[in-house]
Amino acid sequence: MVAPIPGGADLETVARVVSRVRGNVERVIEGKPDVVSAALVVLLAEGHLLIEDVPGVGKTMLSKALARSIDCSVSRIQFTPDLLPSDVTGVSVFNQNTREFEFRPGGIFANVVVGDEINRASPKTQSALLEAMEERQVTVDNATYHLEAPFMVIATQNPVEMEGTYALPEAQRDRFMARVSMGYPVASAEIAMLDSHTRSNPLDDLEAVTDASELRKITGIVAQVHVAHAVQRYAVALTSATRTTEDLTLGASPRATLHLVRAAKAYAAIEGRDYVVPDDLQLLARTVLAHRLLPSVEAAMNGRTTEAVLDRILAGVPVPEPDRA
Amino acid sequence: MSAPTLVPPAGSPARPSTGRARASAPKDLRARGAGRLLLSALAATLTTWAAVVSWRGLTETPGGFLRPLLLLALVVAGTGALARLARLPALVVLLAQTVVGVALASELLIDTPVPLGAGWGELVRAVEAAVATSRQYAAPVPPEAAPLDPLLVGGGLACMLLVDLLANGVRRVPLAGLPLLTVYAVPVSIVDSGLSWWVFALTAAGFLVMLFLQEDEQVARWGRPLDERGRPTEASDTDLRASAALGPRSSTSRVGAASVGAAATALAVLVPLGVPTLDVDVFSLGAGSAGGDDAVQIVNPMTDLQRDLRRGSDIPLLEVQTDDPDPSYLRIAVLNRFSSEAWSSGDREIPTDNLPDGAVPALQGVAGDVARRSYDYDVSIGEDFQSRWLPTWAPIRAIRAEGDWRYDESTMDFLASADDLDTAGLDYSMTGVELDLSAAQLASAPSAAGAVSAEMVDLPPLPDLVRDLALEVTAEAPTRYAKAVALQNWFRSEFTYDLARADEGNGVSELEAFLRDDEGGRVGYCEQFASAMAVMARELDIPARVAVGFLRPDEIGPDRYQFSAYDLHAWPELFIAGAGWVRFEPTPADRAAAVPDYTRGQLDSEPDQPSAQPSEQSQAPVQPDRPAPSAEPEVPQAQGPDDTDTTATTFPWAPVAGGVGGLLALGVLLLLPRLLRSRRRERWLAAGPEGVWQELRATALDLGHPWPERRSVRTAGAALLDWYADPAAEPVERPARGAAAAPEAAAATDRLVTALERLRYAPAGSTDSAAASEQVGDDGGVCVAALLAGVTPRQRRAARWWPRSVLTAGRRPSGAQARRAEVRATRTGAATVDEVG
Repeated sequence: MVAPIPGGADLETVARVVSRVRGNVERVIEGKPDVVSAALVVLLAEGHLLIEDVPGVGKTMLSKALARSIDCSVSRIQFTPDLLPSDVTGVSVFNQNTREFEFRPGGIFANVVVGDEINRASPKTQSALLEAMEERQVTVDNATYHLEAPFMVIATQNPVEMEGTYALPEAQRDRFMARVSMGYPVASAEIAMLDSHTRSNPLDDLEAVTDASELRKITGIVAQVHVAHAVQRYAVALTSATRTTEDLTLGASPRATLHLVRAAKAYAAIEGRDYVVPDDLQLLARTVLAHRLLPSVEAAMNGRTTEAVLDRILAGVPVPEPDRA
Repeated sequence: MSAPTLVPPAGSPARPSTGRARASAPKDLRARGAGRLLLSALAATLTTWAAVVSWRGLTETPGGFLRPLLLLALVVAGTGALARLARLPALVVLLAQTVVGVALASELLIDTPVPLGAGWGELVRAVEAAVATSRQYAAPVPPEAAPLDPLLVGGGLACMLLVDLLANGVRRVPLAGLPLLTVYAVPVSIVDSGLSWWVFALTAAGFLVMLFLQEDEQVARWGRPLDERGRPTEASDTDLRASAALGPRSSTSRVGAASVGAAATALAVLVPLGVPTLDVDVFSLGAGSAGGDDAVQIVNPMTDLQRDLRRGSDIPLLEVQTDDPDPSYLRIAVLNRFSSEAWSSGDREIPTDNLPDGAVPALQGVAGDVARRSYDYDVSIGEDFQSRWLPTWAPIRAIRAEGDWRYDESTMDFLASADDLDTAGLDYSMTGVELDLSAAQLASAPSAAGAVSAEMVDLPPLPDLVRDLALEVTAEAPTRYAKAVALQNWFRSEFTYDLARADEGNGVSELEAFLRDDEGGRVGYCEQFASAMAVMARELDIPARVAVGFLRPDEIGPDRYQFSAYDLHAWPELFIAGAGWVRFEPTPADRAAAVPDYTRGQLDSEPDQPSAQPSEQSQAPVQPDRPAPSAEPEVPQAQGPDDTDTTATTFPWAPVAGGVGGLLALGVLLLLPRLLRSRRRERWLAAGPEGVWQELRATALDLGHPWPERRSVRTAGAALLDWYADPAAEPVERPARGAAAAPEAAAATDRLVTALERLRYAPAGSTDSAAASEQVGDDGGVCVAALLAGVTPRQRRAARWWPRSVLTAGRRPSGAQARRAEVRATRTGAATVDEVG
């Protein structure tokens, strides 16, 4: 439902950029518009994206496509069991010529960081990402280095049941704004993929359609999107409900509420609205909240997933009436 | 960008607070329980009190028992609630209430809370005095008599305890209706002024409240409230009470129950106004004045004919097939005893073998040489006539009727012996005897001394006026028979028959007023004529009694006659040796056109100048004293419709007006929801997006669609799309529904949803222009039309006439209410989850 909006020029910019990036990514990832949308929402909301699925469904492809579409610095860290924290953050090296320690930045120093198979690294290395993701800075040898905006970590991981994986700690999961699952492509998309991917790597043909400065501008526009008091109350009601329901042992954190609202703002802007409606929150709740929640033993034994619990909460929590001043 | 704080904001509780909320729950429960217990107990005792208000007609000083009983109601309720809060067994609760109630009643009645020793003696005396009063006086008991209060307070208290025990002790509210009904039935059988409709309405309302309280609690115990998809809500078990109290079920069911209860009570009060019915009570006292036509047992017939004669419409009561050319004077009962208040039937001897199963004993006191003729009668009584006395002609030779009817040989009237026996729908036959009495024969009758019981000349102390008048009127009459005829003719010539102006009753005071020759005197109706003549005959030592029955039927076919309510009549019967009980007719010609043949002979012979003064009785046709329908209209008064008195034949304005008024009220009641709804529609459609949305919600509810309450605008909008159909299509039983069927409405809905979202969630200042709001109103109209097209014509009609949105809790909670509920929920640690639904 796109409607004319006062000051719509800004939102038109957002729509233009988003549609360019979307078109670009969809040249590589076929038949997954939901996943691509979620990735774009996270990009505009300045969050980090966790892509979880079995190997070979295009996780890396998606993250790379997204990174390539933006004309900015991109780095890729392949997480392995022997990867060290310093490989992520960077290390101070003694320069024989200058006889001084100088800082060699690690893979984290880029606008878009693709962390591949993040749960293959040891918890120690994973936690090295923590500070960088949340505070957008790196501290090495008492020196703090700021990361340039936009900064986005796109991490992929295999489901924890897979061999040779370490489960991501709750604290780190909480720092990702959203988690998406790729899922297997439908048959037609898989056939199309055979066509396009066997001749050459389609990633090679991708060109950047936007740049870091434009991205900074549109994230600024997204931040201006209005969130009514009623919608804020609804967001808080949703996350509080996850804390009190007996089906979850760990509910959503206040940071989750913040992420939910920011994601909703980005989604609203993409939809061409300068205000958030409760439905935006409902739509994004699974993507933004599910990976942070831990089901209770009882719920797990009854076969209720966190998604199912979330659905019940969404159906149950009433939408607050708007304020009538 | 700053890192979010990890400290939970105030008002969003962490998990441990749930534990606190649980710990405080029993206390809340107790407080709620106490309130509820008190409410239930009050409902029970105050409802009983309301029913007891119907006793106020028993005495002229009703405050004497109503005030103590009101206090008792409060105290008994409080005691019961306290005792139940302490979880005492039901019997102990009853005991406590009884002790407290009796002590208080004793304090109020005899000024001592312990009715033992001297107090006991005093209490017994007070009760005995009350019993004596109840025997001595007819209702209402005058203030100068010993008060009935001890009896009434005692009875009322007992009923209160019983109702409270049934409703709150054993929790069977429907059973509690029986004692209430009993309380209400008492005055119906005693007081002749009828019962007020508001006492009934009050009692009914109280009873409905009791029912509601019990059922409401029952429903709340069933389990979780469901959301609109029929799934249990998120409310955990501990939140149940809260959700039961706050949830929409509660408020909706309350409003619904109140509407149903109010409608039922209103109908129970209004409908009898519009439906004139004659039940039973030809001679009973029961019928209410304001349409409170409760069923009444006739145990003791009184000559209270006035009401039935004044009844708005003439109701056919029974039909008879006979070879008698003049089947007049069908007798129902005989009244033997005259006390100072009224004529009553006196004591009867009704042995078990006095059944209507064939021949009956020989005619009492009739000489063997009197010529007689027999006629056969087949009587069939309609359902409207429920008399405890079997109508018979007098005298009769044989009778056959179903049922345990018994006769007293001295009166030969038939009284129902079984409690549930009455005449409704009864068919029976009899053989009547017509004696060929002549004036000469009667005039030469010997003394009747010893022939009949002395009761037949028994009189209470009477004013001298009665005796003086009796002697004066009959001064020139030599024989008993001549005296009787003189009395009859005196009444017929000197008195005026006027039902409207007549006083009610036939006691001594009425008699005196009736006989007195002054302003308002000498006017009455059949009851008073019969009573006065019988009393005056007794003054002259002529055995006399009053008979009650039907005067004269309408001929509705060959040998077929019909008696109706307006034919009810009373006449005196005097005992004349050799002729038995002889009927006289003192009621003037306005009512009873003709006098018996044998009394006319006397008239002709004695004054002997009939042509000089053509009095009314001499105008009456001579041969058959009852004019056949084909008879020429010689006596205009007697030819009036239904042969009844003139006042009664006027158009029955009161019941018709009542009926029309009732129908009008009913019509207004029926129209009211529709009018209200259409006014709301007009207002809402002009009130911008919120108003239009309100209207769409109300329309959906009217049509029976499950509106998604407290969901987002889009959810509701999507639901709306499923209910749309093409408004331009022919109305069919099952219209095709969905967004595709009504694309215009679907687009309008989209615009509405956007407008409403913009209004609710967009930053202030970006609202639309007037043109846009006009567009919103038009869109609303389109959506409403599509919604209406999406249901069957029948549902549409139902929505138009009986819009649920008006009748159920129509308003959605305001923002402030919702916030308050939210805050409350957050405080108890239940967060917003318990507001589901």
